Amino acid sequence: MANVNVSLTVNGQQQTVSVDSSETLLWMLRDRLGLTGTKYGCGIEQCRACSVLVNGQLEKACDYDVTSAAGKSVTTIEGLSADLSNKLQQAWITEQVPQCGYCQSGMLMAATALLASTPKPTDAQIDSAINNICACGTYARVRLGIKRAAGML
Amino acid sequence: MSAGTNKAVSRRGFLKSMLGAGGALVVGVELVPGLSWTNAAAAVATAGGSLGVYVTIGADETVTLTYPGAEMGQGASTGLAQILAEELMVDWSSVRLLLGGYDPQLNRPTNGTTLGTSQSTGGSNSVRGYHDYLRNVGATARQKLIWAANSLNPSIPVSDLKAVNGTVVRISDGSLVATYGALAATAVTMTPNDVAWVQPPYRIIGQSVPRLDLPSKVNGSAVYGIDIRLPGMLYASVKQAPKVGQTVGTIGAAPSGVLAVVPVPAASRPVVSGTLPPIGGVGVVTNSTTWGAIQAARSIAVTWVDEAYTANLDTALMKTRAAGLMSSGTAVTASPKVGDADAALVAAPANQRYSGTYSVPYLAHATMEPMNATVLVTDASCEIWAPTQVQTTAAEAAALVTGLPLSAIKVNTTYLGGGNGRRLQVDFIIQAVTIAKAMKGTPIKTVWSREDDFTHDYFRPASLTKIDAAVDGSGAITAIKARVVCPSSKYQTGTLTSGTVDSSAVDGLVNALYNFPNKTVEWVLDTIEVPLGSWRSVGNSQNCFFLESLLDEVAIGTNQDPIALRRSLLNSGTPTHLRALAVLDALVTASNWNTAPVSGRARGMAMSMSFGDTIVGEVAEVSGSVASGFKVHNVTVVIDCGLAVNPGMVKAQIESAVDQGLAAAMWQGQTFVTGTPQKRNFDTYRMARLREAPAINTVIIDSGAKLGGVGEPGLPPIAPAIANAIARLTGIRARNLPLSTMPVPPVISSFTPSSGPVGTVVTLTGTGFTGATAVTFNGVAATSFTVASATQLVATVPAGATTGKIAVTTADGTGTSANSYSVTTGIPLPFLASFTPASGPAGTLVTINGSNLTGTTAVKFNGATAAFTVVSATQLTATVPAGATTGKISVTNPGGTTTTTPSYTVALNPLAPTVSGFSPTSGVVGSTVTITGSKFTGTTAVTFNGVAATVFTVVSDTRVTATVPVGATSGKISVTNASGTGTSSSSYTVKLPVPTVSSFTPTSGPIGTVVTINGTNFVGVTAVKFNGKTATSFTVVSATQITATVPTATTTGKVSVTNSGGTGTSSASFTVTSGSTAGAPTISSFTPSSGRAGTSVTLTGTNFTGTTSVKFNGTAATFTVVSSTKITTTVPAGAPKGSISVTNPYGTVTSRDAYDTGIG
Ligand code: FES
Ligand code: FES
Repeated sequence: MANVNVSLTVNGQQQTVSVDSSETLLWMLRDRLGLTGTKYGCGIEQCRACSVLVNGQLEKACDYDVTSAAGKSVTTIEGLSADLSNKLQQAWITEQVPQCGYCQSGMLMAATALLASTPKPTDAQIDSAINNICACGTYARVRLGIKRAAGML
Repeated sequence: MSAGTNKAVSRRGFLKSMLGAGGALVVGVELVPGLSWTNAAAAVATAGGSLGVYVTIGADETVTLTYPGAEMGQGASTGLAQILAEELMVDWSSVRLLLGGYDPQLNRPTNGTTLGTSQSTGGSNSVRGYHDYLRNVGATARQKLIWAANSLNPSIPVSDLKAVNGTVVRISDGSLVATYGALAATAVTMTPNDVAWVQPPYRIIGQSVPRLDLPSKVNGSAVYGIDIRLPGMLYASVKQAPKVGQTVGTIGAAPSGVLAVVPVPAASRPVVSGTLPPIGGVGVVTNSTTWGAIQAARSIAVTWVDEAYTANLDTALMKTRAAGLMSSGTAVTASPKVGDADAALVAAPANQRYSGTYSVPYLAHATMEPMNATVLVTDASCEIWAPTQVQTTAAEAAALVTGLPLSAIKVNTTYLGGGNGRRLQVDFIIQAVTIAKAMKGTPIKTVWSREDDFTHDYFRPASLTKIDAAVDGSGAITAIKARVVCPSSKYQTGTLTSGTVDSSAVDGLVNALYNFPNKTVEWVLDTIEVPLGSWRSVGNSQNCFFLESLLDEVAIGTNQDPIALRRSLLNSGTPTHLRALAVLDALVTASNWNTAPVSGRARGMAMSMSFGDTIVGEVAEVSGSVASGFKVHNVTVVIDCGLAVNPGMVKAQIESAVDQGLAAAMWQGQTFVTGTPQKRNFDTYRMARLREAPAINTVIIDSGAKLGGVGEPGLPPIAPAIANAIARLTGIRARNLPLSTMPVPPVISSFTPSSGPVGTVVTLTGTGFTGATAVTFNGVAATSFTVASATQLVATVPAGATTGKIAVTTADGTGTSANSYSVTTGIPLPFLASFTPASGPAGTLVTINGSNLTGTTAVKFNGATAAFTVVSATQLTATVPAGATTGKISVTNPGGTTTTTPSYTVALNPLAPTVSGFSPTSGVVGSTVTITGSKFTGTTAVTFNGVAATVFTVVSDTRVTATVPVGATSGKISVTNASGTGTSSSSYTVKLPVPTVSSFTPTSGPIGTVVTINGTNFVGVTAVKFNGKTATSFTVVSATQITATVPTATTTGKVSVTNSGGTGTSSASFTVTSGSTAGAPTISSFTPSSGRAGTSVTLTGTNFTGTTSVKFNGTAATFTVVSSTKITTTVPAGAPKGSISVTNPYGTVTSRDAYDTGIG
């Protein structure tokens, strides 16, 4: 339970956080920084509700050692935009994607990473890039949301 | 704790601004996380009155509408707001949402004007359950605002006022009288007597307005239970029992960093009203994080005590138990019972009866947000923030735990990360309140791990159900009897009246939308203690699968179109049935039912009516196979839910139900081993992923019927639609879910021959043949077949067989060939199963086993005709003909020729050779040896002491000649043929080649002279002689050079060299001269005594004539014999300091003194 200070950038803001050295990024974001948009779903890298970007790379925060995040730049759902100006957020509203919404932070981060590397993804590319679990069955609309944000609809 | 967003602060700020906006009714934002519902209501009251708990109008003209239930993704919060906004005549953009907490004023109504006794969200009953009541609430609030306008402007009569877009205007000239914001405070006091609902066409009802909750769900600001943060809050989790049905024995020491250890009531126990479960978990409080609390709970040592029933919660045992109840359990008949199904079934002939026994497993709710609740308990109050579907039950449970009156309990409803029926239970709230009660004054957030969430669920009951049907001669169903074996949550909670039926056990069967002339549904209670709860669509989730699958079996069996079959069951003219017919008509169109799907796919359909007469028909299009798995490509859904308040949300709910029902049908099911649930996270409990989600096309029929449910009715038909598609695709009826457990039937990949008359033996290749129980040729069973292996089977074309496909049946199903076998006329081909021996020379008698061997006209060995004898229809013998070569055996009869798969090996000699002798017995390499013995025909090798002769000739079966090979050494001779090797008893001696002496130098010299001899074959040299006198010293420099010293007493004569092959002698003579050396040298002195390499040194001594070497401490030096007493020599490079030695044929002398070379 050793406590250490970790300095990193979260959604563009420099932060120094006192954490338990064995903690993962997920719990630092949620319980230390109060950024509760990033969700806990399984804790074993299955559901991807905890997805965030670390230095632009899609990562599962539930298994991302908090000390490894030191000096890096983390983007969470709150970092997409608070005012819904992000094109994926807008597409999500247009297509009315979320239901319970619990998985959607992870979905949006995965979609963000996908469009960053593949601006016009094919169905097959969407199939392989989006591995998040949604228990509510929003998959068809997630696909539409991505295509809309990509300007493909 | 670090800097970070503290939402609690902004919450307080919000509350203050609300209170400070004096005079008007103000609430102007969506529920802010953690806002106390009760405080908000109080604030509204303090601000001067209310248009009711549901409607708050802000000074900024926003209209905040209270949602009384649980928003778990179904969108009901938006649906109810639409109803209110419609009646209120406000613009949708001005509407805000407030999630209501526990408040009896928010109880679910029983009709348009009366509230019921509790708040709960389930049964797809939010929109339809609140619709009439909220229409009245909205209409009343609107009239209050109109009356307020009249009250403030008495000159304008109410009859000249109307509400438009959040304002009141004059009807006569359309002029604005006042905005709602300006009228709200006055409106509170009005008591209008002219309340009436808005009439269609509607502005908002029936529109796909955007959901109010979604903006917060795409930027991370929506607050779920797990997201609650309060000042001073601590984190807790619970060490839950590893098995279902255990209590706490002993609790070990608290791990470091744990602030409190609190025994708590067990999770996942049937909660009996007014009592708490026994202590069955250990709460752990920390000040770290939720994950820290989960880890601390994992690390604390707890011993557990089984309940009496715990070990019975075992899937294998429970299946046996259910089967026993199916055959002999006491049943209760559900009503209504129609006619006498038993009698009709008995009366029906066997070929007009259909029967299927189906099963479904226990299902987990698997909500994405694990169970959690945040609670603050003080001496006088208890406040809860929780994702709950049952605010009233939660409050009652908290009162029970804390001993506080209900009036002291506050429950705030957060967003739910899925509900699905799991949050109709309050076990997690009881645990959280118990922990908070031990930590009075401190808010405690208690969160379960995902593993505990899976372990401690209230599962959808497993059900084993048998359905029997009878049809008349035209295929019309005359009777249906269903016998259901399943456990009951009502029984477990003590609310089942003995002798009655738990409606959820038979829901969807007893009230199915079809008219059956005779119908009986009976239920056998299984008292097993697996904790049970409602899962999306409850009893319909399994009973629709059972009934719609059986109907499909009847449709296939009677060769009827499944939609036509259902039409015939509906056609009675009642309104419900007319709606169902319309659903079927739309389904035919939308799914292209009458056009075949693309090759490799098949369609299946199913329908149901549930949750307030909502009718749903679904068609699933599927490809794949049992072995490779199935893929659902697209699903067409037609729904008639009466009025669709928000068609967009209806579609979303259909998509949700289809995806969830698909995942359950394909993969899901909880299993138990002696009380332990086996699937504890998403790695083993498989959820659908995006790539597995089908395209879903939803058609909404607006039939004008009364509002029906939406959230659940889309689920029941998907499992049978998929199973029915699989039946058409594969011919295999899936009667047990999940489909991933379907046994893999045999596969016939090929067969040979592809045609032949009755009696032909056909070899099938494929998989899964082990345990085959039947093989048919175009439906005619083979009377004789043999399973050679899991991948090969032979069967005889039976009498009566006709051209068609071949099928193999095992306990796992039936596999049918892709191609047809052609049954021809004539004589069946011989069938060759085996032959023995597998090899032998001409003349060998070979036995061939098989069938159809009577009438054999020819047997050939690799084309060579053999003499044969037919022993029986299954055996013949044949003699390997002379001249036959290795190859396949063929057997011919008038029907044709069959050839063996393996080859017969023609070995010329069936026995190994023997070697009796050879001649000559010795010789040099290259000489020829004649070997005698037997079985030399077919000799493949001759070896000399293991070295193979490259040249040999088989002269006869008893004689071989071979040439001694290069490299051969003396040893035994072996002869090898295909059958083995024979070896001589004696050894052949390989002689060396005889040396020759061609020259030598010098050609003369005294005794002791070293002579260099040149010649050939100087190998194995045993002697060098000078005129017959043996040299005592010689060195073989190479095979062509020897140096030898002329020995004492030698006289002039020829030089000879001898080895084991003989002696070679020079033609010239060596001349011995006088002045011969007298003996070994002596060294008396040398000078200088030191000097580096290259220094010239003079040695003085005796007998230096004939010196052969001079060495400095062992290193040879160049030298010159100046005289018999004097040698000059040069110090060699690298010689270390040491003695000088001189050697002549008589010996070597070493100097007494050391020469110093400067080295060493
Ligand atoms: S919580 Fe990280 S993958 Fe599920
Ligand atoms: S929207 Fe509920 S889990 Fe995806």
